[in-house]
Amino acid sequence: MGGTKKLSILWFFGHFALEVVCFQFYVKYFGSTETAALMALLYDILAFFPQFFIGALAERLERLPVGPLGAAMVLVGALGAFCPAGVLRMTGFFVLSLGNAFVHVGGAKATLFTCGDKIAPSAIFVSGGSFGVITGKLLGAADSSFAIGFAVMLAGSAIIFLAQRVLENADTGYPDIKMADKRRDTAVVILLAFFVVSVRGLMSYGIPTAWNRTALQSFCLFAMMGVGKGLGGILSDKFGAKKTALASSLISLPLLVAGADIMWVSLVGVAMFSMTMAATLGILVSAAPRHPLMAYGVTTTGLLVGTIPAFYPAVKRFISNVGFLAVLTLVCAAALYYIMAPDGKRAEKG
Amino acid sequence: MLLVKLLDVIDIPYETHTAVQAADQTAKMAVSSLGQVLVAVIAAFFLAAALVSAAVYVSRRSKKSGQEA
Repeated sequence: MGGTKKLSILWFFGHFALEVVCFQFYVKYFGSTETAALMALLYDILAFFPQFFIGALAERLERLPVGPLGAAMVLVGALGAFCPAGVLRMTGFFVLSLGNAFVHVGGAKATLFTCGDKIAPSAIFVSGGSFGVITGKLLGAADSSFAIGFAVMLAGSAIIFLAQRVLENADTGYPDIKMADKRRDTAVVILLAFFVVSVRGLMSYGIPTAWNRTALQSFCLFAMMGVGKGLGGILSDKFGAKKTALASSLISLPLLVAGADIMWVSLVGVAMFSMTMAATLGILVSAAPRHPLMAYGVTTTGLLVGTIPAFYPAVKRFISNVGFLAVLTLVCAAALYYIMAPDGKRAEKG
Repeated sequence: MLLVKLLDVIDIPYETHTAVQAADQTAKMAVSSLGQVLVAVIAAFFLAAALVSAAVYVSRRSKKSGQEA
């Protein structure tokens, strides 16, 4: 498939710019207000949940430039930051959140429809977000001018428009990823993959990181999440998705538990833990091969479901329990073992 | 406000009275910001729907003109 590598790199930067502007907007203008938690929850709902439906729309309307449309929405919404505090600024923030969902689907479309049997292009696109989230958070926390985030997104939009041109000239077709074990019922595969994604969303709030106290340490934490996601895709293509997913989730557990106070151990654990992202996306795409964008939307809905419990302080305290995290990781590893096709042999039937 | 009036009637000491007024004020602030958030969510949906409809319209038109050509 032509243009895949170019598209994954362009979308890495497009995704990075998107998250920079979104998180700077949130942290700078709502992070310390009385509605901070509500705005964060609404942001998550508006940015994650509609992706399934936008995916369905983008599959139906093949010519809809969903990525550039999202970028335009994000830029329009970001203008709200220049308005005085109140309804106008909030409206801008919510338009930006919805635009965020469109941009994500645009990235998924560009990478999944050109990837053939590889998951790495999508994983590289997704990994750009982690770097953007922490950059935006730090810019917001430092109360830097919002013009920085806006300028980054302007550049990101140019990249997304360029990626659209590349996509129009590339060889496109449905992905040929075969990670799900065809002997299992498709509904069971989708439900278990959804569960694993939700657990990843939940655990990203629960991972014990007592060492994380400075801006540089926070940057390292998010950067390792990004590295893990990208590396997970590359290793899955090279050595097999099942081996990569099982090994990374099982190895991550002792590292995360032992690394609560030791930064480097924890960072390796976080990277290993993030590697399962490529596997879950690949499983869902191979369970619904004619609906890759809806499958992508299932992963973001799973992340949203996993994130919601963390908004309740009592639940957050409970999920930070190391024993609880260990049990969840083992359950996820067992679920992945059950629903993933053996490496090399891949789909047995169908 | 109702609470404050009620306290006036049953003659509660002044300190308690002001505490209730403060609580009333906080509740009003929370309600007003929640109202703003709701208005903003609805406005954002309409604005986003307008943008998406325009994009869908343009993409359908370009498809049609492409087919005609």
